[in-house]
Amino acid sequence: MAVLNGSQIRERFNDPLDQRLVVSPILEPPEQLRDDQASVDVRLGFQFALLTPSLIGAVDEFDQDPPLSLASLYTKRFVPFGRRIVIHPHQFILAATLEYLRLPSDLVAYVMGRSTWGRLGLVVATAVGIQPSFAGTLTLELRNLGEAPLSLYPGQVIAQLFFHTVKDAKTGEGIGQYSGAVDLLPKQMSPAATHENLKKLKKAVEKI
Amino acid sequence: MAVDIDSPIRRARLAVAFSLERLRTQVSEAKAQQFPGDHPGPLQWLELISGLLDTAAEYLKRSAEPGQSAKKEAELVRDAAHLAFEAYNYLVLMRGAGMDELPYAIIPPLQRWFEQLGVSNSTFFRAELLANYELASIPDRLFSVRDPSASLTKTVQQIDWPFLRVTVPGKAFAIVPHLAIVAHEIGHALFSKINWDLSPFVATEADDLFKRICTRLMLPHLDAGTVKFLQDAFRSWWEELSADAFAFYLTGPAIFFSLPEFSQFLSDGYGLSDTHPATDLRRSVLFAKLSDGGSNSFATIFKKHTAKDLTEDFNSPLVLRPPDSDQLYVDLCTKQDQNIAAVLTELHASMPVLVGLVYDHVEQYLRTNATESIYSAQKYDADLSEHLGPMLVAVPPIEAGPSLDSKVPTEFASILNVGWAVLLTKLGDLQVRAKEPDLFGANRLEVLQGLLSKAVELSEARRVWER
Repeated sequence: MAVLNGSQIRERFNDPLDQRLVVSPILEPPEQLRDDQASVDVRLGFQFALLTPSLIGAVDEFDQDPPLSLASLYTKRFVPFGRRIVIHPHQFILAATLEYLRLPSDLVAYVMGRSTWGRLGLVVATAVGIQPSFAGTLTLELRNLGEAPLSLYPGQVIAQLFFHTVKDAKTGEGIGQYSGAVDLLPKQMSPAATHENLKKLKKAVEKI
Repeated sequence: MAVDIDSPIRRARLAVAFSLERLRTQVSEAKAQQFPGDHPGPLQWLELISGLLDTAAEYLKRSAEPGQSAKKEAELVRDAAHLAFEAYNYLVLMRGAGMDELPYAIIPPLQRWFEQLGVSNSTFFRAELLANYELASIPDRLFSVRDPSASLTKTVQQIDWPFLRVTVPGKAFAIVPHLAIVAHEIGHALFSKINWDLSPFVATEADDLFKRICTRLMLPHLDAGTVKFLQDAFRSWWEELSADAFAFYLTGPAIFFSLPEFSQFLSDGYGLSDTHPATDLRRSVLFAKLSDGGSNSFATIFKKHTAKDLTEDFNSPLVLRPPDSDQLYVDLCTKQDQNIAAVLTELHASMPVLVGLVYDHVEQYLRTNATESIYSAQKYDADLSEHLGPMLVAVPPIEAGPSLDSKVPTEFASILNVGWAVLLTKLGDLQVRAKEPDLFGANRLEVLQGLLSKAVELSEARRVWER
């Protein structure tokens, strides 16, 4: 599984549609995509979500029927260019990338926080892997582990994307369905079948 | 300060003062919020309201001055109360202008239409939970009060009157492709800017129109009320057709797909009233314009990219075509006074003469004043070539250009048109995961709506960054 270098990434932007890699918009190409590196820098977007958990006991997918709406845990904020949102020490917020990403079926990507932010205590992303055929904006899970509040401005470079080829991936038209995910809030904790089985197991244990 | 409530008038003054303070708090909180697009319009409107409240407060102060007659004191308190009520009503007028109701990113492209077309009026946008698009024109006389405060005078002078308020549906009915209808509303703001010459209509049609109405009513001449109704209806229809024409030149096929579709669900008849000509007539004109130009027409380009023949009812099968004049008159008489029915029937028959003139005037106005705002068939061709295929693999029309270093942001009208082309002809080919069960493809449409919203947001981001 090889990592694409800068010029290979650039070439993939011009591939035929079904194999094309899309990262859009890249506002400063010379800065964000350099031939001597192996990644694309991505920026903070405008959508943020702040956890407001005080109204519930715990996030528990089996605590309610129907299950708790995960979106209800968050307050969304749109922060335009020129404004900021402050992440305080130990605060956790979700942030969308500015860039829209579309991966073809033969590429996976990894999102990594930039070291500059890391040295200030900001941890970017826990779900770092992005599956082939993903389409949408990335949701970054930001946590400030540092001692000082950090001002975050939309448009700031926050992370970088590394692209890997998938061995023996099927390519061609009609392969895969893209998610087209543009909302940063989580939808469900477990896939449907897993959720049902876990629910049955929980009930069985409760009867003991 | 001691509170003096030892007389009925003083208690009344306290009640008004209490209202004013609460209104000030409400206005202050409203000013502190962020408005979509960081548009200045809502803040200008709030400044006007602050000016009214300042004026009311000055009335109250004067009412309490020593030596004031009881009559004058009562008059000032009453006037202050009236201003407080007015201020409250004006706050209601901007309900729905905040970020909770309107997505931030849709306002800049709408405002850009206004600017491109030279509509410099102070404006604010708001959403309401009503299936309605509307442009309201608010005159300065609403803020013309006796002894205005310095703040009110200053703000009134800073406003470009009349103040315009654009209303769009909020929440569930805030559907991106339908925003082409806002171009129609902007057309209303431009109606008075055109140097109209309807003499060809007057020469060929006006006399005949009067005669036909008289004949239908079996009257030698029309009474003043009917003539007034005819004049008002004619003026309204003329303006509606003009607004349609603006929307056509600004958005091309998008208005043909959105306006009749929207109208067909709102009207249970022909959509024909004293304020609006028949929906079918308006749609026919738009369809004719789209078909105009042979191999370079919008309709031909639409077929080239979608393999579908554009038909008049392509996206509006429920629009009813009015019958011949005699039957239309009978139909209208079941719901209207016969004079009104006769006027509407014959006015409808005269419209084919008017529509050509109206579209010609609007086109000429735009070619002279804002030619870059015209959405051409060539642009449509380029947009579908560039974006239709990518949209099917979930790449929204954010930007266009051959290389990374030469990308330009996609125009709003382009996003609308690419959206409609996918929505109406390629939804089944859209390679996205939609929730199941998917009622007739509605969940797929929801994904499309998300992609189009993202295209608007990110094309604006690129535009702002470059600026």
